[in-house]
Amino acid sequence: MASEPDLSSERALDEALLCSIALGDERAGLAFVRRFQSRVFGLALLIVRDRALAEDVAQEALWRVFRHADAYDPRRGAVSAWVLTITRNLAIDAVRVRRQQPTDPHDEVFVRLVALQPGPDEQAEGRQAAAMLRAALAQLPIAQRRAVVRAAIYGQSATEIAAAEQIPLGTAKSRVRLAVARLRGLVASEEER
Amino acid sequence: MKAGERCAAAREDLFELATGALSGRRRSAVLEHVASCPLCASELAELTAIADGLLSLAPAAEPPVGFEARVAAAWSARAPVARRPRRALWCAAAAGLVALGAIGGWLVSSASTPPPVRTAVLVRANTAVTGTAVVTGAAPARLVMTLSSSRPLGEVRCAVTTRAHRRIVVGSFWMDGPTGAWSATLSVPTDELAAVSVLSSTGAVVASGRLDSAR
Repeated sequence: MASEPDLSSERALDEALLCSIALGDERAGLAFVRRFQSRVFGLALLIVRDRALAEDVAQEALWRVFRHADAYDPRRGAVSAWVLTITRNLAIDAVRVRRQQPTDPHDEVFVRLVALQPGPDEQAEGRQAAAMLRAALAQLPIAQRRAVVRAAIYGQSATEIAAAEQIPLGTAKSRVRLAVARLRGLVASEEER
Repeated sequence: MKAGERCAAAREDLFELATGALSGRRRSAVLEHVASCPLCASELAELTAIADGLLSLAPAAEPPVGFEARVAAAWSARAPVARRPRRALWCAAAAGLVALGAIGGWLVSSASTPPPVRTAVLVRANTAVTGTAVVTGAAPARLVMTLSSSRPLGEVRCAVTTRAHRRIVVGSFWMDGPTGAWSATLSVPTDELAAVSVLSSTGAVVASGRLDSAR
């Protein structure tokens, strides 16, 4: 039979673990925590910039995943995207409550996101898309890179980006739009290679 | 407003919808438009993929020592809430465990037609191995399997049995802990499958179960 056992499929393993969690298997829950904790904590730390608060956010995010595993819909995206979106939203909420103002990332964030060497995850099958996106992000003009990172990772609206970057609203909107268009184009051209 | 104008207006905000930055009435309006416009829905899916991809670029960082134990403790403390009857809707492994509710879940979670789903509960009395197997999709079908065992099983083989009683080994995987998960793409059509089994390296059946009817 022409089957393709894909042990290396990160996504399938994530889905199977989440499936076990949905069935009430707490050991699968702990395996899931081990698998995701550094990514969840890393994203939370990037946004809140406080290790204690980042830990609270990471704990809460993983709890929500555990609690709502049965509501995950695989057709709407990968498990990792779902987990990281939950984390981002909680981190943004946490920082807003604490500082009562939108987060404003350090300049180094915009450099670090593209300067990092691919992690072990990205070398694995299924994570090539992340490596391509990282390369594409690196090719963007810095102003566009800042705008699109503010939008996607820090959840900032065009209005918030305009205020943080001290630029007109129309400029903020066009930077995000151009950045997204270029990322799509660059990723598509990489895929064709 | 004409259809083209509605699309143009919605597209202004699609990326903010994808990143969660859009709120209030504008969010409701864009969501309403996307629900009725396949082109904008497709555009939203692509933008969401970009937004999700950017999130995944955040550098990983090891949490403080003891994080995992604190998560486990917090879960135990909150478990009375968590241990409500679970309806494993999306993986539909509810069959044999919770017979009702799965189809409803698919329909609630998405307006589109659910893919065929068949499940098997894998057991064998004398091996203390339990698991679930879920076959989803039609072309090609995908098998996702999870296993729990009180002892490490080492290398095990996964096999499917067709309605014509033909056993086909799909592949093998390594289980060196109490739980394991594995998946494969199948070339046998979903409706020709009858059962799923896990075999030891010597060919003995470790756990098996019949697949239920497609739902």
